[in-house]
Amino acid sequence: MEAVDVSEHLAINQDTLQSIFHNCADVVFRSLKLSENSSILLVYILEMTDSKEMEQIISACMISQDYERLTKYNMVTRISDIVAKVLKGSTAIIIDGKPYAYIAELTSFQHRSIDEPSNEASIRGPREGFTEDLKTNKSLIRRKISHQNLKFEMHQAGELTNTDFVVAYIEGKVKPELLQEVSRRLQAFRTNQLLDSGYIEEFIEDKTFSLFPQIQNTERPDTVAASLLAGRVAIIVDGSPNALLLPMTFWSGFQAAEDHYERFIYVSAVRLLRFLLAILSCLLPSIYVALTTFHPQMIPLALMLSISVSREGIPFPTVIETLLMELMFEGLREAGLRLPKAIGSAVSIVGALVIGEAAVQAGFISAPIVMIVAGTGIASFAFPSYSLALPFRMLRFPLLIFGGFLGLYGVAIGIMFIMIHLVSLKSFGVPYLSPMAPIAPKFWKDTLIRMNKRYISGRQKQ
Amino acid sequence: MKRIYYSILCVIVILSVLLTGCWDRNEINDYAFWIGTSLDLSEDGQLEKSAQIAVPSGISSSRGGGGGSEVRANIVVTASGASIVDSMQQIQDKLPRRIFLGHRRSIFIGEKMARKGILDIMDQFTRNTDTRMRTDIFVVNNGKGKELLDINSPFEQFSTIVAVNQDRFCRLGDTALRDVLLDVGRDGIRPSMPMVDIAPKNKQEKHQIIEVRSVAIFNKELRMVGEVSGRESLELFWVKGVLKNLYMTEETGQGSVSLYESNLKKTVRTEIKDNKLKAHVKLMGTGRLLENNTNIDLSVTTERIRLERELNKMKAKQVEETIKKLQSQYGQDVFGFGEEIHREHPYYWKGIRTKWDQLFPTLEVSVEVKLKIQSTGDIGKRVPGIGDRK
Repeated sequence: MEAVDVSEHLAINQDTLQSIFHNCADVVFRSLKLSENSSILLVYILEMTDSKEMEQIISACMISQDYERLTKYNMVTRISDIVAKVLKGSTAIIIDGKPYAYIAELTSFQHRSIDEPSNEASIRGPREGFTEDLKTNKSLIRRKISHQNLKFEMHQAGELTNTDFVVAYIEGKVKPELLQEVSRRLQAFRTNQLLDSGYIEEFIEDKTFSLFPQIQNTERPDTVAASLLAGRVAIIVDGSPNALLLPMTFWSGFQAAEDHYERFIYVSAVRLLRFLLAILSCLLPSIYVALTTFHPQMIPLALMLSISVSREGIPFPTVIETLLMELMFEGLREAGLRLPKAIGSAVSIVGALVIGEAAVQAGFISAPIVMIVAGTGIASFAFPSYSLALPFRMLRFPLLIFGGFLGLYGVAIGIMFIMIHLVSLKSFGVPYLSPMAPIAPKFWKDTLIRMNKRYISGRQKQ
Repeated sequence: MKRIYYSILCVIVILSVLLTGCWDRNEINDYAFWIGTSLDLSEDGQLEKSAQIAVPSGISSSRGGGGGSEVRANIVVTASGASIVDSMQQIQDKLPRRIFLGHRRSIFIGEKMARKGILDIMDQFTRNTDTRMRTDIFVVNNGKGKELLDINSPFEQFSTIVAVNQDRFCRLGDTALRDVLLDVGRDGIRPSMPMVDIAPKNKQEKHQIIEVRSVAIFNKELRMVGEVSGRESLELFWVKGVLKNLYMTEETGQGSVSLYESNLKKTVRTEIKDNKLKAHVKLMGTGRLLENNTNIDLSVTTERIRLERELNKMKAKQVEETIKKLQSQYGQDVFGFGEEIHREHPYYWKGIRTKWDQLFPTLEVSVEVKLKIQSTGDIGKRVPGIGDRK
């Protein structure tokens, strides 16, 4: 099939195509006899084609026999090209006696309209988010960066899905080595399906077994635009509303899009709060367990006595208690996420009342544990990036076990392991913790805090 | 093959974490929190140690609003033994939970014990790593330390903590174990520590109350030799340099004046003339007028300066008398003049440091006081109309 050229005889072409599209109920073959010796064949997928425009073409061809009108469309000479185009929603127009076919892009199919990004909401700033349609997504970015240096490189992957994706970058901003590395990795993998940008992420990320995401994903065109302007590369996959941004650093996971729209003093304060909460979401349970079971000297007497009072008569050791409640909380979260909205509230009532209130009343669980778990939960919701919140959520458990076995010493060991891993991690050649490790104070103006844009201008000039 | 090695390595690492490590893990409600210690001399001359131990269930029931229930949040356990550790072990034998010294707030020493000498006790406090240096230390005036632990205070669940707080807010400053130990280690100063009195019950106060008003003076062998109380104890701490603020009421001859003096400072100069030691103390403070029962209008600068001078002279005389009294009565340098000589004349000090207890009573001390009245309050005169400006 691949090697076959379009024949001059329409019947042969029709036979070839029909055998290829055999049992494809959605592919329509429409023959039109224009005159005694000329006829044309339209091949298209009905549900993906704009029928109004097609009728115009047909009527133009029939009435005026004006083939000139078709020359504005692409010409292909291979059957395989016709097949690929038709499957993407184009209409193939094959004219009897011509060894080529015209491909008219009359594509029109149902897709979601542009919505507010539900996972990355913001108070201030643009409200539009990506949809599943690649063309729409490209236009959303192009509207923000109207410059010829913004490039969209078309690629295709997935032997069965034939999914389009684009690699977007700004020429002159992006480092050529990065671009080379990206295209090298994109060519290196073979897959027969590509249903979401997450598929690509797994194929091209540096360390697959790391807990930490090495490629950022976002639903926001403005985040993509800002990242492109900073010299990063974006990968947008058809059918996925999540664009990939790379390279990713640890700090970019803590930046919300809004950080650059709101005034910088407030943003800096909020960012520091986010870091604090991130640390808490990971360490609070383990530090509580370590302090109460190994180092009671470190807790003020009054607090110590309060904890001691509430622990009176509790059957489980503190580690087990905390572990149970943390697991319960994670279970609640997962249950609430997957359930229909109507039942979701029932889960939260059961969770809050039965597990929180009743367990304390019954004396199974001490009250401070409920507070610790709740605090940890709130802290873990404060991440702007959901993907970066996941490792923190997971690392809580090993740290808790370390803390329960070895006290603060164990927590310190755990943190050390995490730090060693983070420092050695790289995303497309960029150290994960840069500019903190390796240290580069020049670029600190937009990491832990955000300086006023007047002072970050150096980065824009580059 | 490599895989097997890795898995063996993993097992070893996991086992070494699980099977070794610090197994001093202890649940919080398996600890008996030792809040306060008292040390007394028992009748047969042994060391009697009492411990105030927190009882968490008692705290929860008294917090639950039991309506004046007589549940105590602590128990007092007593044991007598040859040494501190011995009696501590005996106390542990009487408790179902492991004793935990890390939160001990204060140590009370019975007066009898203090007068016999506490040198043997102190070593344990410095050696035991569980002891906090911030623990407060008191001598119980005319009584046993255990009596203080037995007090049921209306403010706190632990009389120990009441004493600690009172020590902080009373005028005598805050003396911790650390301060005493620092003084013990020096040649030119003798330790002193606050004394608590157990005030008798009366109709208004259902429970017994604690009073901190005097200072116990120790000699080099850590034997209590005497006490000073009231104004003299404040002056002692002022000259020593630990007093931060004080309320003082002075009789001027035309009526009394009360001042609140803060930012108290002292400087001491020493000199040696013809083998005679002299010390010159300068005491400074700034403060505000709280009460004026004289007819002097203190809003007038000339009047105020005159009063300041008068007060300074009176105060200087008082302090000089106090120092003289301590020199003649106890002969112990609780002020730290020896340390001043050490600092200013280090070579001379080497010759006299072993004889300092004999030399201190002969030290000539002159005192100069510089008090400032910065604020005179809302009104100038005592009552409008009386003592008008002429």
